[in-house]
Amino acid sequence: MRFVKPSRASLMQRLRKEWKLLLLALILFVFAAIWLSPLFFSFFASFKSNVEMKRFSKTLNVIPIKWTTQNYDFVLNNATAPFGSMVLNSFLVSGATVLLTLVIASTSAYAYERLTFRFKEKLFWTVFGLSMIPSVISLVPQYYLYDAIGWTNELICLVTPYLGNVFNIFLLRNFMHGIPKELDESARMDGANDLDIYARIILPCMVPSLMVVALFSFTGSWNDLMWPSLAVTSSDKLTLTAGIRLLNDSYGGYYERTLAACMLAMIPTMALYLFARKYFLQGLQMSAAVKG
Amino acid sequence: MDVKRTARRKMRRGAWIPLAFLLPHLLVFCCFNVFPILTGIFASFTKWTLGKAPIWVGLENYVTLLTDSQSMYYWQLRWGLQNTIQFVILCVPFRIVVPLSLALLLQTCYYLPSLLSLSVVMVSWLYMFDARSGIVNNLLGLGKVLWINTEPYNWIALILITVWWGSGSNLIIYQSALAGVSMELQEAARVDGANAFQRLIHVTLPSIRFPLQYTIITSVIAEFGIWGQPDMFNGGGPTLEVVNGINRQSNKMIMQYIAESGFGSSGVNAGIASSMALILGLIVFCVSLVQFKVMRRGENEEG
Repeated sequence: MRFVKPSRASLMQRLRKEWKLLLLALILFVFAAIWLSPLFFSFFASFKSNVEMKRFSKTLNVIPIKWTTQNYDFVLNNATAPFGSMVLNSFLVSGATVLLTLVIASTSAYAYERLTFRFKEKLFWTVFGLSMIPSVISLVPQYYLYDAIGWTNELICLVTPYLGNVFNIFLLRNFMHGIPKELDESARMDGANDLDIYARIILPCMVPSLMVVALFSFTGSWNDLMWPSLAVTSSDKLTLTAGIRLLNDSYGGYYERTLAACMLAMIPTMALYLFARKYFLQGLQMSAAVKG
Repeated sequence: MDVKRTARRKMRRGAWIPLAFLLPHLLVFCCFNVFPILTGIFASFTKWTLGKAPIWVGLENYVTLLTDSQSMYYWQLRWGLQNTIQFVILCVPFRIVVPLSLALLLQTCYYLPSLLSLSVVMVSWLYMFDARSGIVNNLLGLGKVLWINTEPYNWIALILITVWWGSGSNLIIYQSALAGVSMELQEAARVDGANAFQRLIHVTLPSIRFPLQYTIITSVIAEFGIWGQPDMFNGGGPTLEVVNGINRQSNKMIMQYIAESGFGSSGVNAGIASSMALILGLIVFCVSLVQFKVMRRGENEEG
């Protein structure tokens, strides 16, 4: 047939031409596999029995010989380290952080971008400048502040330190700048006040950037380790991330148990990333573009 | 004129509206961000133990920290900073170079580790590096390398883990920046006979210098605050030497010392912890300022 021959030739030609590309793809694939391998090893280990873990140096089997869910059973039903309450605490803390951050950051971004008042620019840059002070300075006093008002060991002290984030305002303000002012004006003509304009016009237009702020404050809060570890001491108020640090100590040589807890703990952020990958990438690009 | 006046009157009458919109943020920002900073600065000039009122001691904390070799805190500041700076110097180049080379090769799945919480990352890697039943020693046939408590393996492991965990966001930033590098410029350089390496140095890197500058500054700031990795990996590592009865640990960072004396159950000393934090804060601030200045100058020279 006339058609087969040239196409076959062109395939070979293309292969010969693009073997470099294929090789590159192969290298990338292998490297990606190595890069993610700790997660795969951990995943498989979480389904192994303790005996199998101990014998790994002899058998060298990465994949469990006998799959078992006993580690997951142990983690979920261990009364001394209540996994369920850690999950609940994490969701409460991260959820509250996201909701309050969205309200606080968007209202003040609206004020800085759309309203006119004296000392607006001065106030904004003062706040921005203050936020540049390395936060390590406030670490210790923060603890004593919450201690004084009786908030240590309360979930709220894991929320409030992040509500003052100025970068979110900066991001939202920049985005709001791109929304045409004519929209506000015409609404004002129709008798809308500032609250109407903010809630009915600006917010709906800003959903993408609000998503970015929400995602980053959620993962930031969910993954925060140092502050919850230092500020919270009672085990029923621990978040998952800080809880795993303690599980790691208390489970001693039983890596497979802690790893089972880890596998469960990474589900929420992973799921968020899978569903909202676009916004994650957008957010990172936005932050570099704004700050750079 | 008339329009202006009514506008001004309107503004004065509606002054509470901007305030209402700003108040939530200003309130939390002042209470939970600015106030602790001011307290921290004040506390660093006091002797302050939990449960007692702080006592003003002037510069005593700083004198102790900087000159009194009999004091535990003097050595903590010294060794903690020394280890932290060593960590930053060893770690940051990799946090730039590794994601940059990955981004040049383009792959989003490398971002995945950055989504994990540090405690998950640390457990996973503790398992990898476990001397007896860990993956690294057994699969690579290294025998019984004690990654957790021998130098330099503990440093290698800590830096590897940090780069693995922290590269994701830098990678995405480089990726989008590289997408914006002009192909014509690359092509022109190729026509002029520049090889791949020369094109990288003279075309690609200069065109992404803003994202590069941003990532270098943010990475340095982030790594100066390192706490969770050494805390969960080995708590500070093996003791190297004993000076005046105070143990010097191989990879104990300044944040660990600050957390210990500011929060720890024994020997709480919030005043001196605040002084240490202020010294660290000043160092971080100065380093980022210098970086910023150096890079701005480079930019001006280029045009």
